[in-house]
Order: sequence, then C-alpha cells, then structure tokens
Amino acid sequence: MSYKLDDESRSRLEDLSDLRDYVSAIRVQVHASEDGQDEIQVLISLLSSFPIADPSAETGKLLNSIATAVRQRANDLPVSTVISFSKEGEE
Amino acid sequence: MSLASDLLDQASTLATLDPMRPKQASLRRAISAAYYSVFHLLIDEGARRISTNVALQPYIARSFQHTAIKEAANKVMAQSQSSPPWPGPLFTVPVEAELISVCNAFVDLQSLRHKADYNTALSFKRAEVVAAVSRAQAAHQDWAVARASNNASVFLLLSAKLLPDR
Repeated sequence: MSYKLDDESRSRLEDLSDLRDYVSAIRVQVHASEDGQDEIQVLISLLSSFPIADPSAETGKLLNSIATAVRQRANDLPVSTVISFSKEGEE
Repeated sequence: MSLASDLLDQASTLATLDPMRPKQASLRRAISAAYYSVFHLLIDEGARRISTNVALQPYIARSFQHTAIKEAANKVMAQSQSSPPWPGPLFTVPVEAELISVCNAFVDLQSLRHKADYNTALSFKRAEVVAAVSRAQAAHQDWAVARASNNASVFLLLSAKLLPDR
C-alpha cells in the first residue's frame, strides 16, 4: 500500500455538513482492493433513526445519491473510492 | 422474470430472513445476489446491444469481466472531472444522474461482494446488507431510465472492452 491520504482530503471526505439529516459519521481509510490496487474505503454511518428495516428502491436511491455526493469529493484523488453504509451503533 | 430480477428478489428475501438473529450465511448470500443481479442486468443488456442473434447472446454475456465493468463504471463517474479520462469525448455531458447512480452502486456492491464471499473475518450487520440490497434495487430502476442513452452505450462498450484503451 503506497498511497497516503493527506489531511485536507481526509477532512473533505469526512465532512458531514450537507448530510447531517441522514449521516452520523464518515470514516475513511486506504486499503488494497481485491485486485491489489490502493483504494479509499469510505464507511458512512447512517443515523440510528434512518429507516432501513427492509430493502426498498426508494431508500436505495437516497443511499446512491449520498454515495455519489461523497465520491465526488474524491474526484481529484489518484485512487478509486469504495463506499459502504452501516447504521449508527451497529458498526 | 429475468435472472437479474430473480437474483434481486432472492437478495431481498435473504436480507430479511430470521428477523431476530440473521445468519451470516444469509446476509453474505444476500450481498452476493444483490451484486450479481446488477452484474447480470448489465451484461445481458450489453450482449443484446452487441448482437441481435439470441443464440449468441449468452456467450457474449459470458465474455464480460467484473474488473472491466468496474473500470468502465469508474470512468463514467469521473466524467464530471475538469479533465475527464478517456473516452471523455465519446460521452455526452453531463452524464445522466441515473447512470452515475448505477455505476456508483455497481462499484460499491462489487467490493462488498468480495468481502461477503471471501472475508470470513468480517461479521455483517443486517442494516448494511439491507442498504446494499436497496442500492441494487435502485440501480435496477435507474438503469431502466438510463439504458437508452448514448452514455449507457459507451459504458457498455467500455465494459465489453470494445473501445480502445487510448
């Protein structure tokens, strides 16, 4: 693993300002993907009040839009980004 | 029902089994089925675009590679950059939000699928699995909107490695 995320980029990726209605925390780390490439792993923790008991396309669209917004913050970084979701208190 | 739709239904069923104590096997298979539902959605469409010969389409679909689709999806998502990567000139900008959403979901589900199928050190929680299945459901709906676009065609051709690397 050779890529090191600088503090400014990390702060930008972990910024909650536009997402506070849904997200309690964003955590970022760099790791090697299955094909050996460095990638940024972003774990988005949803608020405990976020309704996610059963799968739904409506919820999925909201999650995909959150993922898109966070991924765009990494647009200028030289490695790819992978995003996953958890729920506050269940990480 | 198509294989892609059946896999999506299977993912939803597995994600909600055993309400009090979900089995890791069910949660892991739910993630895998969710990913493969989107994978088959895309490769079936790609095969149909490449040949109208129905007998050939399963063989064409078989030639799609997971990594190539991921790389194509990353290129679609990177088209909003100030200097978008090749094949930037072939895309119509701005890229449709629905196609970007499909690409987002595909890349993330593929990574999650690797963990679900191979990393037994991890323990999956239901919420993250429901999130993954929901994202796959949304991807199916968004693909229905985006599939007719020029950008969807470029994405599928890139995924099939039918465009030069430049």
